[in-house]
Amino acid sequence: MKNQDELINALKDVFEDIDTSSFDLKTEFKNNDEWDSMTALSLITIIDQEFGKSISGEKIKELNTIEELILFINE
Amino acid sequence: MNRMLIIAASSDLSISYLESIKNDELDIDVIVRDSSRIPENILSIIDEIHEFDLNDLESLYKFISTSKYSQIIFFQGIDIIKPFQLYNINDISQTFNVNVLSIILLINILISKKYLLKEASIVIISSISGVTKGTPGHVLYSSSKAALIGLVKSLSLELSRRNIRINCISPGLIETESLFAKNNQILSNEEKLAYDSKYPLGIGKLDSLNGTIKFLLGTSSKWITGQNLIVDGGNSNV
Repeated sequence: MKNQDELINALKDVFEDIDTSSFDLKTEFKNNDEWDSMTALSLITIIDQEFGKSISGEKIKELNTIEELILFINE
Repeated sequence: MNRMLIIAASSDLSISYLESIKNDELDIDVIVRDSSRIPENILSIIDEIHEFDLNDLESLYKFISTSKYSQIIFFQGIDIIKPFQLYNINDISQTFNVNVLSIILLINILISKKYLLKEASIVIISSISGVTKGTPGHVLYSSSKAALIGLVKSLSLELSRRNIRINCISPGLIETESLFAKNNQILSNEEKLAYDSKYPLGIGKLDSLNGTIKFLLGTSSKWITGQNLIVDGGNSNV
């Protein structure tokens, strides 16, 4: 899928403690101990910086899997 | 007659202040990046426009004026919202150039080129996030705004020999258009409501600072210098 490797690689900068190397399309990126408002802000920043796409906090609430996130980026 | 210099004149707070003084007997010069961002009815009350990008200190250093000023207001304030570790060198230098160094440089020029009239008053808009309230995601903004408090404290002592006064205002959250642009990206509706509960007098309106600015610029405050006035609708006591 377009941008799949790029996004999973970029998530390394969103999470500090979680090992993101096992992340795949089905991973629910919010379903872990590290997810909070600051990781959400990191994700907003990274998606803007790496993909030039602006995503709202509301939108992130709607998305669950990495696949859904990539579909949004590729929209 | 009083002559005023307004810096970052196209900001929401500046436009609101200019609206409030448009019938006063005043000459007004402004420094602004792009004068087309100032509404027509406000442009008509401005005497001289100096276009500068406050991030470009080399250019700003060439500021010259044919006038002397008795009232100066600095409205600049950029807030790059990111987790701290994601800030890059451009974010850091831009924030400090615009929010702090451009102010230091301009006051330096105003003094050394003798553009300040005796008994002039300088007002700088800081923020409660540099004084009473930390905010995650806004570390550069907070630290840059805090720097202004120190600037005012020591500089007031150097300027007092000529009865020139300098003070900060630290506002709480104000409903500016840029705030809404940011909040739409980051804050949910519940979070907006949570903000409301932290402001006993409500979140600030665009004109909420105008009275305080006018007070500090005018002679009613002639015995006040080197201070930071917190104007936050009661937020710091919650």
